Amino acid sequence: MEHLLLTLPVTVFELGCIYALVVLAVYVTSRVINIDDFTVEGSFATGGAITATLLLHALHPLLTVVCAMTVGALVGCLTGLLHTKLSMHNLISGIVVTTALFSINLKTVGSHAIIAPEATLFACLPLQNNALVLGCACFLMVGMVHWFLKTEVGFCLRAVGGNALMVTALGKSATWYKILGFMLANSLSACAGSLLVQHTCFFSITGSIGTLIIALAGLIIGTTLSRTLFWSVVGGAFLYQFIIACTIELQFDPIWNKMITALLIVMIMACKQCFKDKRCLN
Amino acid sequence: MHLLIYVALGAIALSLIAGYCYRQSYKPLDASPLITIGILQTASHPALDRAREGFVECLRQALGQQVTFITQNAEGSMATAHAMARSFHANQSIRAFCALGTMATQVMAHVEKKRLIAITAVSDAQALGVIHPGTNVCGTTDEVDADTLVDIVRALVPSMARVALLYSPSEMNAVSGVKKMETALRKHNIAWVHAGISSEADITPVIQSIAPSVDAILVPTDNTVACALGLVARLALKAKKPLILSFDLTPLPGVLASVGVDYTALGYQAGQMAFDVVKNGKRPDELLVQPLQRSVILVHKQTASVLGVSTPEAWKEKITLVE
Repeated sequence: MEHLLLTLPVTVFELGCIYALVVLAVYVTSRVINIDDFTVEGSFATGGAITATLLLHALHPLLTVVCAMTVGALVGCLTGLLHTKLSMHNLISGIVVTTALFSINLKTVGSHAIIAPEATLFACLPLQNNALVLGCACFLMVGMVHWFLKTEVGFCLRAVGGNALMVTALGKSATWYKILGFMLANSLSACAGSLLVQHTCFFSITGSIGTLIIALAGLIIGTTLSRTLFWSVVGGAFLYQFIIACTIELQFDPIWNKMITALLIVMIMACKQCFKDKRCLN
Repeated sequence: MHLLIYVALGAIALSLIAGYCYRQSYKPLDASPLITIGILQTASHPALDRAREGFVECLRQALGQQVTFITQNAEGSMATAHAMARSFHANQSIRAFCALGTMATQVMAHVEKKRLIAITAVSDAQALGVIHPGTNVCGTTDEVDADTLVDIVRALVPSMARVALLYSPSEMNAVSGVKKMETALRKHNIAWVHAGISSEADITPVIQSIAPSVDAILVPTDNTVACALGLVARLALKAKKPLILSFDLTPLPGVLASVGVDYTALGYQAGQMAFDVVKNGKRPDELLVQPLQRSVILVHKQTASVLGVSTPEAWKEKITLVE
């Protein structure tokens, strides 16, 4: 039993920090610029693939994260261009780009790659602790986005989601801001993919399937519990990872794992509902 | 309404707690020291399931009620596999681990460096970099010898000059299998074409376009093809082309032959190795990663007669005919 108290929080914290970035990416697309984007899943995988390839070529781990984020931004730009310039539906442009990225990932790194633990970010930084590094990365990123959304550009970005006509009336290009939103979201997602690959020392082409679902669930749980950006994003991601970790620790027949995860989510949502009703009654 | 929500919540919570307690208390009452084995499975898959059953069966036979198993299945997710491996690593009551499939092996070996990890159903253990002096990893590989495979195919279809390799390029097992097949085919001067598929939806157009120009279709260990085997077999039969699988699956009508390892036996062999390490004090780096002693060759009788294929005398002993 004692091992529960030791590992469970660390595992939840580490994976929570990584997925918080994907949740943030989904937040930027579906809540800030108000256009749901499927590419987040594709750029997560591509971020991982780019990282794996560059690490195998012995590039400095910090630079690989920067490269992954740049590629993520380019991918987002592509989706944005397809959506705005070719007037494709946002979902289909996301699906198109994600589908194409699968081939790119296969070409760059193959179906799987193994990275030596010594080559990763966690070995090269002086912190010597995965949780600490991931925590710093997560809080830095979320903090930066938080700050960015309060700058003039950030306000325009939010305005695009609320009322694109107003942005045009201000003499700014709504198209450009939409693309910027896509770029921001996908570079965050690519960063998360990069961190996950470095954390697990393993890249698998199918390993990123379902990322969007994890992120969406995290975001919805998070926004139900809190209204602030930081707590809804980080809290949601942590809570979702906590649910998965609990499912693992319950050690039932693995067939029921997904069912238990689903039930635990229902429990959390229902708890929230109960408390809310109580407050209204008072 | 509120009452209903509370009752439902309470019921869910209670059932989870009850289940957890039951599982915790469900331990044999034997006084002898209990060995707990943690099993990490990459995903739900017939081959991996059978390997797991073989592993469990072996240790049950050898240790009886002295052994308990904790099974976890990552269902293909990297993050989940990592979380599960961490949970196993922290659990000091676990004596040894079993990793089923490539991802589980890689993740488990990355997290756990001391206790034994018995691996099985891994195609290329060398490439994973877990086998070295002083390693804590040993087990069995499901690698099929490509030369044997090509020999059998040539014995069954002597006129073969050009084959199609049907596989999905996104599967690591399939890609490494295809590479080995290419080397073996080159040795025998047989030409080949790649028939790559990325999902089950591609199978029909790919086979229809490629079948007329080849003499046989070979399939490496490939999950996508295995899942849609019924469809592949029907198309191959329609085109009257021999379809040969390099994994152990009972041939259906349309599949001429399957050459591969018996995953239950493979898991069983890994179980024996785990037993040797845990009970007999052998070191994992003495045992390394072994292939299965004997391949299984199954030939489908009806399909063979439809295609006009006869079993050559020299192979009669090794081949099992199935209806």
